[in-house]
Amino acid sequence: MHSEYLKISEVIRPETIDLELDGITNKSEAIDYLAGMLDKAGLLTNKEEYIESVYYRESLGSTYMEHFIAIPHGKSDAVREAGIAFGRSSEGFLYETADGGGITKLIFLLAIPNRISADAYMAVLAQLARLLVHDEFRESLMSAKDYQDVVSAIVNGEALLED
Amino acid sequence: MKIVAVTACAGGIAHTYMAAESIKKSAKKAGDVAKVEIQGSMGLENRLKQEEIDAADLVLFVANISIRETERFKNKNIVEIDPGKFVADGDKWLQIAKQKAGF
Repeated sequence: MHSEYLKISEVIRPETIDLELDGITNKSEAIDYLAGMLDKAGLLTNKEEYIESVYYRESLGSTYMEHFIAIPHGKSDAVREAGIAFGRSSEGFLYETADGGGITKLIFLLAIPNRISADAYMAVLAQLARLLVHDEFRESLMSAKDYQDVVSAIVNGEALLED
Repeated sequence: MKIVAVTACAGGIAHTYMAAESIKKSAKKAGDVAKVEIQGSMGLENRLKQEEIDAADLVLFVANISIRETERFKNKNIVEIDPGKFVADGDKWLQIAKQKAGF
């Protein structure tokens, strides 16, 4: 049994991280590419259906979070197991949203199975959103050299969060 | 200065939490004490106590939807700021909020 509340460190894995998204030039390429990593890692049962859930969520409101960060996410039956794909682009690409959007260098794509409670889903998103407020956390992601650095950044970041 | 804030947003999650964290971070940096209630999709988190509200010098409503249970803030010095502003630059908007409140 998985615990009800997911932790970022439990759902982020080496094969769903790419620290050099250099060929990516726009939002849809980025979402497609990150969803591909989740799919290859065996977390999705149907990549296209999952991507539809991501765009459905996009239609409800912006997932661009300023500071060169975007957190698109989708909750779907097409997700076998919860996962987070993380991509970093040193040059950045334009992430358009209904209210404008902006240049993105750090993008997290969350995949959440429908069977997981809404609260567990939000807890992960909330934790990530809170971490991303801290300059130290963003900087450590920008300078991370490998998966282990990303995990360390998350663990160190959690220490910055109070209550 | 003692600050209490309530955050809420239409999307319900990421902006609400980012704004809340940003208020806490910027308040700490400015030497203020801030308590932040989050009215998100999981209900009221870190619910403000009435005595905390009563003791506050400044109340921030950081929301783009209506805030629940506003009767708790009767007669308080309330400043409203969009959550997106706090997500983008907490230090700057905390300063602006204080000016708006007359500090």
